[in-house]
Amino acid sequence: MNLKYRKFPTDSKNCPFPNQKSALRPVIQIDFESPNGGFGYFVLIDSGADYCIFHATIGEYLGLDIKAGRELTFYGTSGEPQKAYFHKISFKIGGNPHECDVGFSYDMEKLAYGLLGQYGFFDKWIVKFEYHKENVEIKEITKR
Amino acid sequence: MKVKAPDLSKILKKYSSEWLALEPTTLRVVAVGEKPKIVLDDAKKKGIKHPVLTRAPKDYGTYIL
Repeated sequence: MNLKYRKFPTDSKNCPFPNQKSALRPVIQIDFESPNGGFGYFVLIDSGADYCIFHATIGEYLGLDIKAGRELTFYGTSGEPQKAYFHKISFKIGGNPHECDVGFSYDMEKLAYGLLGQYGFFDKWIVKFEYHKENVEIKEITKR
Repeated sequence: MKVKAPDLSKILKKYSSEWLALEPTTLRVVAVGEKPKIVLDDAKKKGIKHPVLTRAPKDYGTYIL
């Protein structure tokens, strides 16, 4: 299935390319069902992330006891340690059911989106980035 | 034919350190608040059955993840 990149704001005072008015990113919408009703959530397809990491407050809304999950200390480019707590959850990608382990982190508040990483996403989907077409093509890997 | 990427750059620029609920088709901001529950409940009260949740970070800078 083909999903579109999305354009997000840039900071004109902190951008090496003054003519760049927006940042084009492979951010897609995933969809949850919850006791409180369904909603979408933006996630960045991030091949550099080992795992899928979402905002902890999303997990709270889904009814999870966040800190009861398996704990992970992880590091971004800053090198600062951050914590995430893993839970197996279900959501939809382009209408297709998807289940995987996601780390929920209270250290994500500086980021706009959740992250879809290697384990939990890239191990289940073939991903083709087409920046020039502003398109990302994904295909679910069928189990033998 | 190339279909253009949805452009959220102007819609989101004025928000900082807040959760936002968007109308799923127009991507118009329908609710703003400190927690996902606040904005999702507010959006649903406004008749949006399946709002899209995103977070406005403090600064929309460059991402190197």
